Amino acid sequence: MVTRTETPPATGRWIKPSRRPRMLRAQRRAAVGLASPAFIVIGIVAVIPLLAAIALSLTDYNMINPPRWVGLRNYVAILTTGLFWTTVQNTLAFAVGQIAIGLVMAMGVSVLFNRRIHGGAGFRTLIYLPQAASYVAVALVWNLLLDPFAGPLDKMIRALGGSRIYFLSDSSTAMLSIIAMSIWHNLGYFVLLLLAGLQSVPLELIEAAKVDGAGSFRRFIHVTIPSMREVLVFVVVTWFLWGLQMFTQAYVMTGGGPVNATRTVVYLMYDEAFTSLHIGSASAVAVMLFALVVGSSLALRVILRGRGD
Amino acid sequence: MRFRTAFKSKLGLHALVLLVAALYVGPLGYVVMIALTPLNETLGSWPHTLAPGNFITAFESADFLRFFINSAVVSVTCTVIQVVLAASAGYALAQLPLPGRDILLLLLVGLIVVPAEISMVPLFVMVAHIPLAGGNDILGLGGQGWLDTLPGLMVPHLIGAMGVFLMRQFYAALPEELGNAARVDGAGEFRIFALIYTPLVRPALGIVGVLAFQGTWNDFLWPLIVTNSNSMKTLQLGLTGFFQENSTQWNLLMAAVIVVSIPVLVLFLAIQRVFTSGALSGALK
Repeated sequence: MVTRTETPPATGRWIKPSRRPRMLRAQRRAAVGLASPAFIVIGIVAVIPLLAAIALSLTDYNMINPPRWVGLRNYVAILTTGLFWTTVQNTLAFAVGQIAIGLVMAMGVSVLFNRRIHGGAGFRTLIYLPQAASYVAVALVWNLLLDPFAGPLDKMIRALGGSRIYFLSDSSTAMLSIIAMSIWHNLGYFVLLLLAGLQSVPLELIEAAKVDGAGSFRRFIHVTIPSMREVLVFVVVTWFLWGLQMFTQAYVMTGGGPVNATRTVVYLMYDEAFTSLHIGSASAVAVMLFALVVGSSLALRVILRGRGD
Repeated sequence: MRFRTAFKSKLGLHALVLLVAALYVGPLGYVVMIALTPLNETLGSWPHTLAPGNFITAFESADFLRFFINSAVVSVTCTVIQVVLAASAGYALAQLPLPGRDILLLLLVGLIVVPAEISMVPLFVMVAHIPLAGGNDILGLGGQGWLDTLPGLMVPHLIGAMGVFLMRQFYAALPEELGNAARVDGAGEFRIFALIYTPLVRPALGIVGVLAFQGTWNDFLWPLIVTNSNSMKTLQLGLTGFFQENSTQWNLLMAAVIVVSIPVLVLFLAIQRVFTSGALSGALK
């Protein structure tokens, strides 16, 4: 066996000791051995289903008869029914509404928590607690809070002289109620991320802006926000994508009602597949949700990254 | 003068913080109060006596013990499998010359973005056609496969792209020299992975484990579609069913909500220092 010196030769790449052929072969074998179980499972439970969704969407499969090829008929049928567009509208309304209100709140809370306050760690833990619990648990809690008869909110509204509001069975407040509940559930996670972003803003930049006479609001807009753009992009994209997946909240709180006012794309997919057993058209809905997810995450990244750099 | 303005702005700051805290303490406290209100008292006012027995009554009024066992078996099994798979694959991606590494990393990042809901329908079809299970023949036809079984409940939670990616980030932060030094001393590749690198990423294993447990324990859509008998329900399904059947028994429902949430809350509190220190957000970049 040729022994190599460990000093770099004058030309070419220095061959590290670990890159000696026999060791390299052992490392490669270990790498394949360690990585393949995970990637085989990923292939089975994540990659194959994605491809299967596309294949199934082109059939009339219903779990009983063997699938028959129907081309794009499922897509045509879905795109020409009003219900699909209603669910797209509801899903986008939820995702946009949640992030529009939620981002402002999360930003405000993280700026607040970024100042030196007594018991800061305790407050951070407190607002993260709902995030650790399930959507089902938090949705049931909000069902109680918003209940027009047993709920505390009703008591407060009526004590202030207002009239009874049927939050979840009135189509003008149902989606707003789900948005409020979802923000309450998710706020803690995004506050943690934004806090990390705030703490990464270089202090010298803020000091320099102060010297230049910028007020605290202008410092925030022109110094703080641009220097935490990476975190902001991550928060906006993640929160928006969570919004596009909304299902559990509506299932538990409103059942998709009243009159489809809170029926989302995932809800439609669920109904198609498991109420009507139309696996083919449910898969077509899934593929279109996939397109919506990929499209909007690319669009958001371009929009948010595009300016300024 | 300066002291007074500083004091005033501090006061305003703390008032705002308390307002935010009230938005969380209020509902959480209300839930606990309702859960402790005796069944024969009106809800919403301070109870005259506390009824800790509600927790037991709630658990006995549905098959919650069975649901608890189902949730625990599925969540613990999936957590162990996810942590082992994520650690070994994450290490191989970070510290070893894995063929096709860049493509596999790209695949992981792509899968993190893809919502799990998209795969639910085809996964349901696949689980129903597992060969030789649940009355199926070798082609996976004739029976119901793994539908309505514990293994069926586990399928989508056996791995998480996010977990593998996080582990890869944590292993990648460790120096390569560590392994090379051990190799010079004649240590085998598996020993280097298991005994040298992995003990150094123990907090990361905790994070991935808690995320896996939380994701499985809290999941709703998959158990909803894959089970149909009462004895295979998970806690989240049981809660929803309890609400649909006894929607006016708020005290028992809130008691059940608390019990169902305790395991994930305790786990979160146990490792919250790792979460809140920003270690997680660092790894996300």
